[in-house]
Formats: sequence, structure tokens, C-alpha cells
Amino acid sequence: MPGIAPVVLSRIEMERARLSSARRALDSVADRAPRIASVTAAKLVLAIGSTDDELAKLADRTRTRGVTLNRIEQVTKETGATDRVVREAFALAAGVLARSQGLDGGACAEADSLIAELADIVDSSLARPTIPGDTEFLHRADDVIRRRLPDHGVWDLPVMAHEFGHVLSKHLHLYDPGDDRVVELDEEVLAGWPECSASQAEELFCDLLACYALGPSYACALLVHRLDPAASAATSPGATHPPDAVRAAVALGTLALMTKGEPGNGRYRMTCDRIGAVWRELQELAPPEARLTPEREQDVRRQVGVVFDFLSHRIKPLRYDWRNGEIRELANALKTSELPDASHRYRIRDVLNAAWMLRLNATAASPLQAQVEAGTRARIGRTQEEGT
Amino acid sequence: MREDSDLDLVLKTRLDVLDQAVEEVKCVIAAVTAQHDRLAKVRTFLADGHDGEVDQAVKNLREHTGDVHTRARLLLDSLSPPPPAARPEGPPRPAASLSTDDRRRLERLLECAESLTRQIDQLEKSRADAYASFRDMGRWSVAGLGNKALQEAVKDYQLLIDQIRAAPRPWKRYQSEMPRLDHKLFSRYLELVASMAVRGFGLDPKVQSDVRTVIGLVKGPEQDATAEPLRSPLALMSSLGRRHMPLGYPEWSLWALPLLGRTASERVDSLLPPGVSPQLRVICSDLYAQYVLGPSYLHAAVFLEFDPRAEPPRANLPPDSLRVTVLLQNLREHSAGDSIDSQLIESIAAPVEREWRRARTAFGGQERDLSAADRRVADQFLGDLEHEYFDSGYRDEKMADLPDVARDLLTDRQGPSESRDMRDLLGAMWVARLMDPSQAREIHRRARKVPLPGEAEPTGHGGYDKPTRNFLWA
Repeated sequence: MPGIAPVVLSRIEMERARLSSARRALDSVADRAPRIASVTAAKLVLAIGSTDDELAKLADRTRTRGVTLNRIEQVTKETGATDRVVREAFALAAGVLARSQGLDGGACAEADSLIAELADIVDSSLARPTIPGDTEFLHRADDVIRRRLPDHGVWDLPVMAHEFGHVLSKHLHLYDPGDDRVVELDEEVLAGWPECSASQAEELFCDLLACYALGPSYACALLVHRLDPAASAATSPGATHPPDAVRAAVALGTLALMTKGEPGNGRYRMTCDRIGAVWRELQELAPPEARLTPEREQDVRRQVGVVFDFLSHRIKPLRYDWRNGEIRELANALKTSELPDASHRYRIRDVLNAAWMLRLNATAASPLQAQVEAGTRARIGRTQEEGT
Repeated sequence: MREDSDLDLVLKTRLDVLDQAVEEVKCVIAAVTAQHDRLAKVRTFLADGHDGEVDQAVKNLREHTGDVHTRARLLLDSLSPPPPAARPEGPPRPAASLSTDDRRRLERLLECAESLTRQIDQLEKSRADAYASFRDMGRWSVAGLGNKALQEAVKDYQLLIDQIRAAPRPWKRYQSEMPRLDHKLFSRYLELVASMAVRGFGLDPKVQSDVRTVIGLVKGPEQDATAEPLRSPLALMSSLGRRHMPLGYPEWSLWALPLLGRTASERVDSLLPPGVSPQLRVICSDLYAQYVLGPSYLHAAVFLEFDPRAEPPRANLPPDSLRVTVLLQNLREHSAGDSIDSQLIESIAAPVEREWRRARTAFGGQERDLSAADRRVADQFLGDLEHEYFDSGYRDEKMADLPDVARDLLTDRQGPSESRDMRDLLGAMWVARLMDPSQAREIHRRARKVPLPGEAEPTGHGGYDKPTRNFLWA
């Protein structure tokens, strides 16, 4: 079929032209955000290069040996690959452009700071930059985290800890001196989750890790803002995420383990208990199929215990420690619009927990004061300044 | 023998405070005794006559120096050649030989002995002067005070405490020892030690500072702190018939500090309508103290002062059971609702009520409440208080923080700024004490280390690490 070779070759060249555009978009990322480019773009540039090489080889074979059904299928496959890398490259470029123009309102910078704060505890090279997106996720091509924008502002910032969990599960290498070997984190923490696919298990691990590292503020963001208490508790094998009821059980189970031994009339325990009570009250309004059976909840909690023990043993420094004095001072500062002690550096995790604690404590008679959210952002901004 | 754990916490707290007071006095006695021994040694060193070591040494020196002088003079005179006119007739006798050098040595010896005698005279004069000064100083020294009476008092009190603990009806025994209702045994002893200042020495400046802090909170910044005369220690000395010595911050003094909260009579009067009964006025003074100081006032009043008996009506004082009821009701108004703050405030109120009820069960009696008319006056008073003195009020959120602050005290953890408002500190101390009564002394020790806002160095307010650190010896 000599007549169709030019058509196929033309299509291949157009796909290569798209890749060139993606490469130029990445160049603009390097110009506008060299730090993001240095951390992320190289991997994407490699993906663009390898895809382009495949297309070049395919074009060469088509030119010399003609069009076959197999080559048409290869064109289709490489087109899909081109779609993926081009989409990610332009998403990255568009995100960087949006950040650089301030369209995210500083939300990504806050997310960067939180992720850097967590990464510094285990391995600072695991800090990944964030760009605006339509939902939160970690893209495998460039390891860039998306922050959903607009979201619920500072109240949703804890969700970034979940995305950091994806980075850890894929990249954290743990040396086991007992066996003298290096193991990948995901080898240890993703197995054993009941009725879950691999991706669902990873999501549950990330929920657990985010609670472990951030304390109640993550559970608050997850349960109050993200999960649907009325959603079916049945697992859908094809879904990327596990049922919301399972995720809630993981978050609450983690908090229960973290506050084990804490006094019942301490703010830490009471804050964690409150979020559990809020979720249970919400679920009471939902149909029965939205709730986990006691047996299933027990299975989930058992696995939570296993992973929690593992984290406590291997990544103990990442565990959030609720510091009464710090939380008190921060909460008072947030309520009164006062800046806390300038000589003291607060952790973003503490700022988030203090803010959520105030929010959980608000009642109809004593609603959350308007300045709390602005104060929280200002406080995180100060932390960013101090960190730079 | 009754187990201490069988006592209700109110009585246990009072006996513990007494124990601490007794221990404090024991420390003072030990320090005074040691000081007395040291002064006795100085006295022996300086005294006249046979008792004085220096005086005896001076006499011995004077005797030996005189002997040396006499012998040297005799030798020099007897071995010197007679003047020519006095030479005796007759055959010449062998001349006494004293070389020129020996003569000079003897003459030098005489000079030294005379100089030494002058110096001994000077030493004697200085010793006499020093001894006179020492005796004068000794009259002003606390170490010069006899402490036998105090030691006997300590024994008596300790015995009494032990007897109360072991008594089949400990409350009855405790109250039978009280001369009158509002001058309880513990408060008498508290005064005894807190006022241990002698001969013009005031209370520990840090105690005064803390007292002024509380009075400032209660009466407001416009008050002249010096206008509030502190209780004269001299008056207490005469009333107690003891001789006292100054000492540092009493180990348990912070516990009772909230009781100063009812000193703002002018403010209370300004908000009450004319013709209010004295009993209701006392109730409103309690409410004012709790409004400003927070729950520490209730704690101090219940655990250190109020009488759990079903006492008969008194002329100008409402029954203590009524005062507790009103204060608890007032505190619980802050714990209404289902917020975390409300639950935390309830966790402060509940143990106080539980322990008060437990102490009350030893006596029976009905819980009282205000009459409807008095309730209206009290409610109006509280409303006016919020309006007139909003800035002086102790806020709910601070109150709700007390359990966590208390836990920090129990575990010796402090926030980054490390300073603490006096009201927070007093409240947290009491909440911590109720969480773990066995750590009462440790709580107080840690609380003393917490600087108040504005204190530059975290030196704490008063107290002493060693028993003698803050003693103001005369």
C-alpha cells in the first residue's frame, strides 16, 4: 500500500512536533521555576526523548519497509504515550505559569513548605514541588504533586501529607541492618490491606501516614472535607481509591493508636475523639450500606496496627507529637490575631492542628472567628520565611 | 490505724498542707540550730575570761612575753661591765664576758618583747571590741533565739496531724482542734510560717510580689499596690507567743494565694444594690474572686478553707456549703454546651464537686441554694461584672487550657515562652494536684520555677532549693 505511507509518516511527524512543543514548554518551566525544573523536569525530558526516539524509529521503519498493521498499532500506542507526556509537560508548564502569576494565591508555596517540613525528617531529597491541579495527585512521570485549586484553603493543606505518602511509598529506601539489605517502603506497607487492590492499598497507607505525620489535622481535613459519609462501603475493584468508610476507619484507627495512653481530658485526646464523634454522627444519617460491618472494621484496624507498628519502628521521627504548650500558644495567637513569639519557629503541623482544634471547638453560640484562617495562613507564611 | 488513702481529698489536702508547714519549720529549726552552733563557736573564740579562747591565748602570750623580757633584761644587766667609778677594790676577778654581738642580740630581743607586748595589748583591745560587737549582733540574730518552744510546737502539731489521720472520725477531730471556724488549725500554722519575719524584716520580697500580683488582678491596675498593708508579722508574733525567724518562700504558700481574691470589696460594693445582706455580699465576693481568678479560687476555698459540716447559720457569713454550691454553679455555666472547651471546664469542676460531696458525707446535711430573690441579685451582679470589668475576667478558653497546663506541670514540660499568667499557674497547680495528689509538693516546686510574664529571668517566684537559701539572717 504505497499510498498510505506518507499519511502514516505525516502523523508520526505531527506526534513528534507535539513532543517538541512539550520540550519547549519544559524549557519555559526551567526559565520560570528553576527549582521545580531541577527536581522534576529531567525525568519528563527523558520520557519525551524516549518517546520521540520510538517515533523516529517507527518512521524510519515505515519509510523503508512500508506500512503494516503492526506498525499502525505501534503508531496508536506511541500516540497514547505522546498524549501522556505532552499532557503532563503542559500541565506542569501551565501549573508553573499559574504559580508564577500568583493564581494559586500562595497555596502551592504553603504545600511546598509542608512537604519540605515532612521530607526533612526522613530524607530532604524526597521533597516534591506542587503545582495547581484539578485534583490532588502525584504524577509518576515527573514526581510533581498537584494541589487541587481552588480547595478549602488552609483547611485542606493537610491533604498534601497524603500525597507525600505516595512519594515515600515509591522512593523511600530503608536499610535493614538486621538483614543487611535495603527495602522499599511499599514492600512493607502495602500488603495485607483487606479487600484492596494495590492502588487502593497505597491510598490507605497514605491516609495512615498522613495521620501519623500530621496528627488530627489530616483526619479533620479528610473526614470533614473529602469523604462522603453516605457513600457505599462496598469496595469497587476497579476504583483507584478504597471506600470512604474504609479510609475513615484507617484515619480514626491511626489517631486512636497515636492517642493511646493520652489522658481523656487532654486536648489532644479530646480533639481526636471529637473528630471520630463527628464522623459517627454523620454516618448515623447515612444508609446502612455506607457503614462498615464490625468485622470489616476490625480487619481494617488490625492492618492499621501492623503498619503503625512498622512506622513506629522504622520512621519514628515522622510521628506527630502534640505539644500542648505550642498548640496553646498558637491557638491563642490565632484567636487574638496576635503574632506568636517571633523568636520561636513553629511547625506547620502545629499551626494546622491548632487551627483545626479551634474549628472543632467552635459552636453555634461561639462560632469560629474569622481571623483564624487568615492568622493560620499568616503563621504558615511566617514559617516559610523562617525556613528560607 | 486508718489508712491515709481513706481520707477524703479535702481533709487529706489540709493535712498535707499542715505536713508541709511542719516540714518547713523543721528546716528552719535545723538551719537555726546550725547557725546557733556556729555562733557559739565564735562566742567561745571571742569571750572574756576562762571561756574565751582568744582571751586565754592573750594572757598566756602576755605571761610568756613578760618572762622573756625579764630574763633578757636580767642577763643583759648582769653581764655588762660596771661603770669605772663603781669598780670594786681588790684583786681583779674574771670579767663577765658578753660579746658585742651577743649584747646586740639581747638588746634586740628586749625591743621585740616590748613590741610584742604592745601588739598583745592591741589584740586584746580588738578582741574586746569584736566581742562587744558580736554580743550586740547576737541580740539581733535569729540564731540567738531559743527554738525549744518552736520545736515543741512542731512535735505537738505533728502528733496532732498523725492523730487526726488515725482518728476514727478524722473530720471531727480536725475540727475539734480549731479554736473557731474561720481560724482553722492549718491557717494558724500557715500564718505562723508565712509570717516568720522578725525584728523589722518583712516577708520574702517574692512572696510580696506574688501577693501584689494577685491583688493587682483582683483590684485592677489602678490600685496602689503599696496601699494594701501586708499583715504585720510582729502582730502575729505577739499573738502566737513565739519568737520567729525569717525564712524564704514557704513551700505551700502558692496554694493559698487565690484566697486573696476576695479582697476587692470596693468593686463588689459598687455593683451591688443598697441593702444587700452581708451574707449575699460574701457570696458576691466569692463570685467576683472566681470571675477574676478562675477556678483556683474555688479550689483553694474548698480544699483549704470551707467547712464541709452542716454548720449552723452565722451572723454575717453564709454557710460554706451554699458558697460552694453557688461557685460550682457559676463555674458550670462556663461548661454548658458540648464544645471541647466546655468538656474541659467540666473536667475541672467535677472533681471539686466530687471531693466536696465526699467530705460532706462525713456530716450529712442538705445542699443549699440561693433563694430566688438572692439568685436574681447574684445574676444581676454577674451580668454587671461582665459589663463593667470585662477585661478583668478570666476567660473560658484559658480555663479550658488548665488541664493541659496542669499536665505540663506534672510532667515538667513547659511551652516555648515558659512564662505563665499567675491565674493560669494557680489554676493549673490545683488541677494538677487533683489529678495526682501525691505530687503536690513536686507541683509546687515546679510552679515556683515558672516565671510570670515580664520576669526577665526564669528564676521563679520565691522559694529555695536548699532550706537556707533565702534565709535573711540578721
